Amino acid sequence: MTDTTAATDPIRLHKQLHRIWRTPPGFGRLSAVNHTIVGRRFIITAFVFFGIGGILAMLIRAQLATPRSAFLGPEIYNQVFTMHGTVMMFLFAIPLFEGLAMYLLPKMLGARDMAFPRLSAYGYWCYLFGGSILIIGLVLGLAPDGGWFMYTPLSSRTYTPGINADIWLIGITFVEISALAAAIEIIATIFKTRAPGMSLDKMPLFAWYMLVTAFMMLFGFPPLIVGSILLEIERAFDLPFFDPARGGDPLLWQHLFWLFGHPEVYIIFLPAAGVMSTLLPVFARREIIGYIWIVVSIVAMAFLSFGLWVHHMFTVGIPHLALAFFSAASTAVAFPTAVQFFAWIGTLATGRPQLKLPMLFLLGFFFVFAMGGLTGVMLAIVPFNWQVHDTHFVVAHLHYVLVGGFIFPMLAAAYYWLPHFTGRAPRLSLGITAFWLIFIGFNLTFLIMHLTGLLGMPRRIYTYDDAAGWEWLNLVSSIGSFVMAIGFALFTVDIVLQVTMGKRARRNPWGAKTLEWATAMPPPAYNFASLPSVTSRTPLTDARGIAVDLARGQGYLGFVREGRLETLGVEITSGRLEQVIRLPNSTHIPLYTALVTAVFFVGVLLKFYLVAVIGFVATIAMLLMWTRGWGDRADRGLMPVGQGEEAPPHTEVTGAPSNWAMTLALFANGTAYASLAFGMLFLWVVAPNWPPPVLLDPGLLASALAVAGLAAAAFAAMRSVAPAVLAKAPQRELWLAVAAAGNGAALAGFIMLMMAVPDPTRHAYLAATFVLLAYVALHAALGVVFAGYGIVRSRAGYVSAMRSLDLRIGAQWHRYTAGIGLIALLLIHGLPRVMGS
Amino acid sequence: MSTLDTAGPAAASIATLWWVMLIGATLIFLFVMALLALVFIRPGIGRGTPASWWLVGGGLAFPAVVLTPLLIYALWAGERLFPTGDPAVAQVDVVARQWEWNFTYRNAAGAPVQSSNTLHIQAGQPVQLNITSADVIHSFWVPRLAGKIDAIPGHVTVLQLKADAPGLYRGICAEFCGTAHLEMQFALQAHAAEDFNAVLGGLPPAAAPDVNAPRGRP
Amino acid sequence: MNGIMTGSRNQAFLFMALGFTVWALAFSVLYGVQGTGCELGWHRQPIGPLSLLRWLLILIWAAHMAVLGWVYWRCRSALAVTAAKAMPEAFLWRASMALSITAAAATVWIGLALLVPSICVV
Ligand code: HEM
Ligand SMILES: [Cu+2]
Ligand SMILES: [Cu+2]
Repeated sequence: MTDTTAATDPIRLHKQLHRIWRTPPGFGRLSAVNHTIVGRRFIITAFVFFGIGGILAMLIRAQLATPRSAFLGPEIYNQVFTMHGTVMMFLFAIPLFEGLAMYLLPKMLGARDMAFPRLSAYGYWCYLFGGSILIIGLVLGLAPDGGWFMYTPLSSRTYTPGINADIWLIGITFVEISALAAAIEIIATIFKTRAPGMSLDKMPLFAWYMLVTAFMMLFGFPPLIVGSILLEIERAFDLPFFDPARGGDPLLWQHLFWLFGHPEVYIIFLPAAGVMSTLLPVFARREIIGYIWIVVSIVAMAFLSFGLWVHHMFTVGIPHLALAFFSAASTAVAFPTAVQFFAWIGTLATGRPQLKLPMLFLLGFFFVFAMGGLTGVMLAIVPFNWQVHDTHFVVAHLHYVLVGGFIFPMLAAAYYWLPHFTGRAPRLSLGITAFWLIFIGFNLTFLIMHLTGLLGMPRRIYTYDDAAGWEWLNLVSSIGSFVMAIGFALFTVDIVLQVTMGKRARRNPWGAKTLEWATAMPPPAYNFASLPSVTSRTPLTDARGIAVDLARGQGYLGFVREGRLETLGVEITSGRLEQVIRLPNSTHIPLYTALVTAVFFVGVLLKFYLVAVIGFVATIAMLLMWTRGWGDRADRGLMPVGQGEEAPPHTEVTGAPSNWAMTLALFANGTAYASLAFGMLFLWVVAPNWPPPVLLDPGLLASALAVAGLAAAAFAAMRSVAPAVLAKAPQRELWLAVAAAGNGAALAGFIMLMMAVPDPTRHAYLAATFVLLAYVALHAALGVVFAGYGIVRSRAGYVSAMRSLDLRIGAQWHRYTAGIGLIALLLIHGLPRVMGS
Repeated sequence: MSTLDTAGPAAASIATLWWVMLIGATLIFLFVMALLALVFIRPGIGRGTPASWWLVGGGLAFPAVVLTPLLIYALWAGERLFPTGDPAVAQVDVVARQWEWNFTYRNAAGAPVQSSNTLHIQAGQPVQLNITSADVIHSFWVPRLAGKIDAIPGHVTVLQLKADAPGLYRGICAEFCGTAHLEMQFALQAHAAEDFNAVLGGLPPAAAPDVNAPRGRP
Repeated sequence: MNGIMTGSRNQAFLFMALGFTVWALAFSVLYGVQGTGCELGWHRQPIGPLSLLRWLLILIWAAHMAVLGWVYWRCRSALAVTAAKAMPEAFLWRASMALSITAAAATVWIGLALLVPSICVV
């Protein structure tokens, strides 16, 4: 059956591959899971949201153009700037680079798709639905109005009684699912689905940037998600986490938000810097200088950016010594930034630079971002920050960084990769005019806005009088913003013209050296008819005819095996061939899963909690359905992959991508849990109205039950994957049953402990304890499901001594649950003893 | 309202910091842009320079030379802007609420008196403000005199400021606090020493413990 | 967490994150102890020329510097071994070594803050 002799006829090979990889037409498009299509959807949707955010920006500037303007009242203005910030940050910037990464990574790495195509699709739908909730709120005039960082207590129920704040919390949390999904998937893809031979030191820099960004997302988003959930719980059920009268603290929200919010800015910047490092060498016509320096800089930057969050809180009354830590860390990021900056300039200086259109936008980046970086250093200086914090100086700074550090590189990327997306080259270029309009308009708007802020204009005020001397500054800013808007309109027209009427582009029009240019243009769903092997950082220069050879099927996997969609997996570091990864075809199931997830979120939003519970259960059920009929019922062992080499299927190796997915998901989960525990400790040490009125004496029996259950589950899970046990179905199923029972016992124990918490609305201590227990209880409940699922898989014949992937994933979960469960018990037993005295 | 038209030592020290940083930043910016321009005007100009020159020189040495003195200077300057905790300094309790400012003082007789939306201080004398909020977060800011500090429910934050000369200084709430955020403006009136006690004497007595907010922690 | 993570094959990769993890730990512990110490009044207990709190902070700082020294040394010896055999891991060890130096520099840099006199709000 297996046709391993390379199909000599490229057309026939293409037809075979196309048949299994294609997305059906018509309504079938809704079933798309392919990275090229889903990536494109992310990008287009993000640009639509950019349009919405841009219109909101124009409303702001129209309102502020003249003093005492009666155009928008404060109620509307507050919604407009909140939504502008929210849309730009969450619905435009993040999804745009996620889409770009999805589209590009497999092609650059020499793979046929991302590691988890269905997860991409599910993430896309979550993004679309969550974003839609926010936009519907805006259209109905119910949009959030507390600013994009939603400070409590202003966003608490007392001061924002309407649904507005809930729309933000629910909509954004929904969208964050897609960010976490993307993070997991990007890491797994970069780790595993590279072309054989592409060791980490031969990886394109863009992949390094995305790898680090994805890790930052993995650790950066959970604090925000936890904060949002706590705030929503406070708003809906009155559990006080942020209410100072009952032992909560508004500063907890600020810490959780900025613990996310500052890394977020670098999460947006790094992919754009990745674009810089990819495009710049092409236009400098030489390899980038300082590859390893750049890798080191990105990692340093990622870590440092997690140590800066308090520079958004320099005015909340923190002691100088503590501020000094954050001030120092904030200035320290200048170093890795400068290394990259000078690596780029050095590359240009030692190369033969060409001023093509994308390069023009890159120069725009240099100009605008340099200035944003310099004002950033100023803001890191504590005393200066006290003056300009929350003024238009900060508004100017953040736009210099975000527009300079994200928009300009992304516009460059648009012009650079458009021929790849569409196979078309521009006929006439409006791009240069668009560039100058955007560039001049931008600087006109924001350069003098620094001065507006220094002259004392706070941000987020809907108007001003003519006494302060801000009129002409604001008028110039508004004029500039309209010039910029015309520039963006022209850019849009230019892109539409090129997409619809461009002439046929030739292959690799810029003379690039990365693998994405070895595909056809536009690329087929499977990218490569056969997969390359890589020997250097510039695979396109090594083998000139590589594109043709691959199309002829002369690389790896140049055939179709039993109608399966296959790509190769490698060892992380060395890039040695390790496994054959089987990927799923088009399916509607991600869409359906996202729909029931939407039922959950809308249920919470409208306070139909029964509906929400149904939505939640349905979501879990749907997610389990993803694996139905998926897997092998017999061991396959080594399979030929072409070039005379062999590799086992991913179900039979330890380093399968889905194994990684679970590990990474648990990292994110652990970060969320740590944020929760941090919250509890923080309140205890810092918040007013502590110690609490009552200290809990958690029941010993319930605690013992929980400990015993957790330990049994973790032990049983370990046994179930021991080689000797795995080999015998009844034994492994027995251990899985023990794991299920253990989790069930733990669940019972934790529920008993939860019921013993007296009225959690009384004090933050009780509320935090309750939520901590609920968090673990939920994990134990899911543990029962996972263990049961393992039994089902085993019964259905998908498990053997070699095919233990399902059980190993489950075992990770059980071990993790035991860990967080024990920590929770330590905290609720130990804290009152340590702190109570 | 300008932070650059200073009328007190704190604002003046920060304005100096700003001018220093502005000059430094401008020079750096022009240098980098000039370098970039050169690269295009004279292609290949850097071909002789080894890569490490760019990375070590531009990426490490350059920021180190600029940032080390800046950071040390800023920490030193910041240190002097913190409240001294000197018991001789006059104290005013400030409570912000949607959307007004309440100030409680002790008059010459030691009795608490209060005013709303106008803060009276004595020119030439430092005053320590103990600031909190009765509802949401606000921020106390008189741009010509000093940096801002937030008013946070459940916490007391401290700001020390001084007006060099008598006069009226505009203050504004700098942290977004709801619909009437903009209207939450106030006046800071600095009086000459000889008038000050009379002004305080004319203020109404403070209504018993003003803060219904919970026990504050600094 | 994942069996293969601890396997020696990807150790170099782990070490890339290790240097700065120590930095992050130093940072959080310093910030946490500083806040807790202010709450509990450790800054008012003098021991010799400095307060208990400041001694504690300096000690924490120094301990993390020592750990960073170990990380650096570990990366250096691994680099020597892998580079000699021209293994792809050598690249990661080189990067890890550079990162451990960078992390130490960053720890020194934030250590500047320990020189700030006002350790707690009044
Ligand atoms: C396209 C041109 C843009 C213009 C003219 C513009 C204009 C503005 C203005 C005037 C404000 C201040 C509103 C106020 O404080 O009253 C603002 C806030 C903001 N903008 Fe933009 N903006 C633009 C693009 C962007 C982009 C691309 C991003 C992010 C990627 C962005 C992110 C933000 C954020 C986060 C805020 C803060 C919102 C808040 O205070 O809650 N903006 N923008
Ligand atoms: Cu920041
Ligand atoms: Cu206010």
